[in-house]
Amino acid sequence: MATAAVFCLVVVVGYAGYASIYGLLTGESQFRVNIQAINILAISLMMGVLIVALHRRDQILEIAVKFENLRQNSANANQWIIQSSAIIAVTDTDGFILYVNRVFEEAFDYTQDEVVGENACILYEDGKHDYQFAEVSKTTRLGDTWSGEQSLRKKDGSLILVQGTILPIFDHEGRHTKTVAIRTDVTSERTAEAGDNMTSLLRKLQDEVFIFRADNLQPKFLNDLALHRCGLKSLDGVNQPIHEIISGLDEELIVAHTQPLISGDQQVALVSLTSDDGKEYEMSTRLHRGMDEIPVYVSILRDITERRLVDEARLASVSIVSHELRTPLTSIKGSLRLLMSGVVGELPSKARDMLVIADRNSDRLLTIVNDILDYEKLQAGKMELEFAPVDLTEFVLHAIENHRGYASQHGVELGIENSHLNAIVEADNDRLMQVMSNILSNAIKFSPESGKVVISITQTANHCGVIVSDQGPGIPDELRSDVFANFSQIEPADGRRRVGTGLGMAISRRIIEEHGGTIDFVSEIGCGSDFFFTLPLKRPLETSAAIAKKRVLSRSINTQKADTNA
Amino acid sequence: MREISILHVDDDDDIRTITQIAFSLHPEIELTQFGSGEEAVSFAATGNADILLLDFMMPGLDGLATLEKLRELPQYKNTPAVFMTAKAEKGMKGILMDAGAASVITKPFDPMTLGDTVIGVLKACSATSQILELDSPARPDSAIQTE
Repeated sequence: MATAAVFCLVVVVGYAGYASIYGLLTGESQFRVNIQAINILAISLMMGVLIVALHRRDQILEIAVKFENLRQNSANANQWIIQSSAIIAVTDTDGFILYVNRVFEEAFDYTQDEVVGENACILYEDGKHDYQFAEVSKTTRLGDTWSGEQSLRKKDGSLILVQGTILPIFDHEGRHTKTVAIRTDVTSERTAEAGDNMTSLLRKLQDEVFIFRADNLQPKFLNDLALHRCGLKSLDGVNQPIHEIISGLDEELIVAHTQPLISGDQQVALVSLTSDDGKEYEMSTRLHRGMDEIPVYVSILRDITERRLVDEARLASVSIVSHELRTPLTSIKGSLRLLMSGVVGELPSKARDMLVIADRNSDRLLTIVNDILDYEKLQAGKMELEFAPVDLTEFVLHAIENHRGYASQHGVELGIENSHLNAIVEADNDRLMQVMSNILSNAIKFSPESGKVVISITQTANHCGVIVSDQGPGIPDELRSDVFANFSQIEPADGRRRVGTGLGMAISRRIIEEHGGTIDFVSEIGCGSDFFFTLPLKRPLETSAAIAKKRVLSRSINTQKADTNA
Repeated sequence: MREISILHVDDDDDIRTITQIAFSLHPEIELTQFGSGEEAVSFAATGNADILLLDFMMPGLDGLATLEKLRELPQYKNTPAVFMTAKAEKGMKGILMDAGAASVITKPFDPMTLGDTVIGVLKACSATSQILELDSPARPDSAIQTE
C-alpha cells in the first residue's frame, strides 16, 4: 500500500515539477504541456521508481521528498516571476547570467543587456565573491536550496543588502541545468535597524555623549547620561548652544576646545574638567563631516576620577622609588667623580679606565630613573610645562654646546643650518632641550666616525621646526613604529645596538604633543636619518588645558545660561 | 684662613662624607655637619653659619621644618639656605624656593663643583642684600632667589 501511494505521489509530483520547470524556463504564464513528454516522463518515473521501490525502498522516500521540494521551489519561483516583486536572476550552473527581471535591473542599476553573459560574481563584494559564490554553487550543485542574507554590489559599486533564496533547477533527467536566485532588497530595513541599534547603544553608553552642530553649536543628540547632566528629558524645544545647557562650560572654552579640529591641527581634542563634587572628567571631541549634512562635533565626556587616582598613586610610588634610587646614586656618582678627579690620590690608568666605565653606567642608571619618572608624569598628566618664548637658533646653539663633548668622543662633527632665521616659539625650554638631547644624542651615537650631524631650523607661516640629520645606518621600515614606542630599543641597519632606556623617544613624542607639535623622522638605509619636530608659533589653545582643568563642571544643571565664572 | 662657615644637614652618612671631601677642596670653607634636623637645631642655638645646606627629605625634622626652626633663632633669620634634594620634580623646586630657599641643588650633584656653587649662591645673596639695604633699609627680610 505504501509503495502504491508513493507511486501515485511520485507521478503527480513529477508531472507538477516538469510543468513548473517548463513554465519557469520559457517564461510563459500559461504552461503548454506536452502530453507526450508527460507520458514519457510519467512512465519513466514509474518504471524507475518501481525498480528502485522493489530493491531500495528507503531511497523512494528520498526521491519523493526531492521531487516535492522541486515542485514547491519551482512553483514559488514561478509565482515570484509572475508577480515581479522580487529581484530574480537565472544563471547557468557556472554562474553566468541568463536572465534578470525588471526588479533586478532597478535594484542593481544594470540593464538586462549589461549583465546577461556576465558571471554573477560581479554582484559580490570584492574579496568576498570567491567564498560566497563557492558556497552558493556548492549548495545548489548538491541539489539543495541556499537561503540567507548577502551584501551585493550595485553597478556603481555601492552595496545593497538582500535576503536571498537560490535554488537549483533540474531537467527532466534530474540534471542541474540552471540556478534561480530570488532576492529581496532589505537594505533600508537593515540600515534602520542598525541605526536604531546604534542609537540605542549610544543612549545607554556609560559615557556622556553630546553631538552638536559645528556651525551654531546647537545639540543634535544627547544620550541618557548627557541629558541627565543637563537636567533634560529630551532635546525637544532645546535651541540653545551646547555651552548654555552644560553648566560650567562657556563659549570661550568650547571654541578653544574645537578650534584645532576645524583648523585640522588635531583629529581629537581633549580637555580636562572638574566637577563641583571633585570628580574629574575628560571631554574628547571629534569633528564629523557627514555627507550632505552640517558637520557636527561628537563629544564624549568620561569620568576619569578613578583613573586619575590610580595614575597619581602610581606616580607617587614611582616618585618615591626615584628618590630612593637617587640617594645612593648620589654617593656612587660623587665617589666616582672624586676618584677620577684625583683629589683623593692619583690612580693607575687601568683603574681610571674602570672608573670611567662605572661613571658612564651610573649616568645611564640615572637616565633610566629620570625617564621612568618622566614617563609616569606624562601618563598621569602631571608634567606641567612652563611656556615662555624660545629662540630656536639660540636653543639649537645651546644644544650643540651641550653635546660637543659627547660628539667629540664619537668623532662626530656638529653643524647648524639656517641659523639666520628668527624662529621663536612658545615652549618649555627645559623639556624641549630634553627632546633635543634625545634626538641629538641618538644622531651622534648612530653616526659613523668622522660623520657629521647637521641641525637645521625650519619656519613656515604657523610653525617652526628643527631637523637633525645624521649619516647613520638608517632605520629599516619595519621598525618605524618601534622608534617612538615605550621601552623599545630598535636594532639599526648596521646591527649594532646602542645603549639607551627605550623611553627617550616615547617621552620626546609626548612632550612635543603637549606643545601641540609633531615629531617624526625619515630614514634611508645606508644614507642616514632625519629626525624632526615642529611646534606652533603660538602656544596652542589645547595645551592651555591647565586653565580648562580648573573649570568646574556642575552637576546641578538647568537650561539657563551657566555661570561662566564657575 | 676660614672665611665661610657652612652648616650642612643630611641623614645619609655617605653623602655627608662626599660633601665633606668636596668642601675640603676649598680651604676658606669651614664645614659643620649634622645627621638630623634636630641635632642641627640644638647646635645652632649656640653657633652660627654663613650659609645653610639642607637635605630636604629627612626623617624627623625634614629640611623645610629644620629651616623653619632655625629661622626662629635671630642669628639665622637671614642666613641663605640651599636645599639639596633627590626629588627632581620642577614643582618641588618651586615649593622650596617659595619656602625661602636661595637655591636648590638636585641630587646627584657634582662634588667637584659643589663648593663653587654654594660660594656663588652666598656671594649673590650678599650682593643682593647690600642692594636691598641701600634701596630700602626698612624693607622686611625676604627670601632671595638666585635661580
